[in-house]
Amino acid sequence: MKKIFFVAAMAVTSFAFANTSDVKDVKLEASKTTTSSTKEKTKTNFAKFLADTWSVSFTNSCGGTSSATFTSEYADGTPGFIKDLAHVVNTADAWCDGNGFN
Amino acid sequence: MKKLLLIGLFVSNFFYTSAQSKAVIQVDYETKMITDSLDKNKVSYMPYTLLSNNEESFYYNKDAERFFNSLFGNKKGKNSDVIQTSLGAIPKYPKYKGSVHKLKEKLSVSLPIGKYIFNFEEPALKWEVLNETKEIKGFKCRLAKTVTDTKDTFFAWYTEDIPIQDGPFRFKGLSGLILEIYNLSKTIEIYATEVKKSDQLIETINYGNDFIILKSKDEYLKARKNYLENPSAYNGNNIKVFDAGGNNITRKINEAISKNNIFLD
Repeated sequence: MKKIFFVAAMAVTSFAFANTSDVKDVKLEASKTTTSSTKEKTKTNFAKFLADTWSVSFTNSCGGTSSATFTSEYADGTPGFIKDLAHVVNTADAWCDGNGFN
Repeated sequence: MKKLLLIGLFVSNFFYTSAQSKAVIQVDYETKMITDSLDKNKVSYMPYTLLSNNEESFYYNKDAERFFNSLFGNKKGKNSDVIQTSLGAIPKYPKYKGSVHKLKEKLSVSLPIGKYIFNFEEPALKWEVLNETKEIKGFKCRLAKTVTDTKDTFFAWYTEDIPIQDGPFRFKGLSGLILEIYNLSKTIEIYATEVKKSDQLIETINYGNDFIILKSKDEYLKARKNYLENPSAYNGNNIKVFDAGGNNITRKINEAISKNNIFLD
């Protein structure tokens, strides 16, 4: 019985250590933020889709400037990415005319 | 071998062509909808088109058709309506993305929740024909009433002069075409703006990714309830929106979404 308890305790301890190192990795990855004038890309390694974070700005339909940040699991330029980007722009623009949340 | 291949191609092409049906009529509708019953000034006008014959029909928004076709459709082409952003020009996102495909008795509805399009089978409506009559666009119309499964009462003006059992959105199954329909509180009104002959192919929209087929309408209603309580969960993409001053207005947007309490279905 004691042996079983000891083995179980060792297993739990090793898993706990494994989890701690994962968390550290995630924190390190998340802090590596790079910024450029047009694109802001943050690698978030813990996400299963390895989604990138983007920022976009545009002139909204009321004539002002809106901006937004978003993640996309799709590669830049693919139909999936363009759809994600268009959805974000629409969400930001809808606030301007106040009628777009249908 | 070549002959076999040619015959095979011919046969498959024949079946493909015959599987697509042509419309006999096109009806353009405008939906006037107050989305927040506490704010009657917040009105949306949604242009929709119905292509129909007696077997099949498709009810859709032309901007949505152009947008999704340009990305995922067979007839890929440039979308002339673009918006310039810091990430380049992108096709303008359609404001109204829902569609309804009718094939015989089956009614397949696709409606957006956040960034996703949910598809489910809509139950058929039971109509009660009333005594009132009036003329719309030169057609003699009769009035009918229905109560939806979501407990809203609708009144429809339909004409047997056009014996096509169709109408806007899920409102079908009368003995003629529906030209006007409104609900009891008049928060939803749909009018036919143009009726004309058509021989256009009836083709559904390919929504690409983020298209989710549900087993029942109940699942859709639950998802919509969850969305209104927590819009961010269904908008995906961890969206954060900023105004010109750089202030984060995401919460305000989510609050505005949560106020929607009038729905077509």
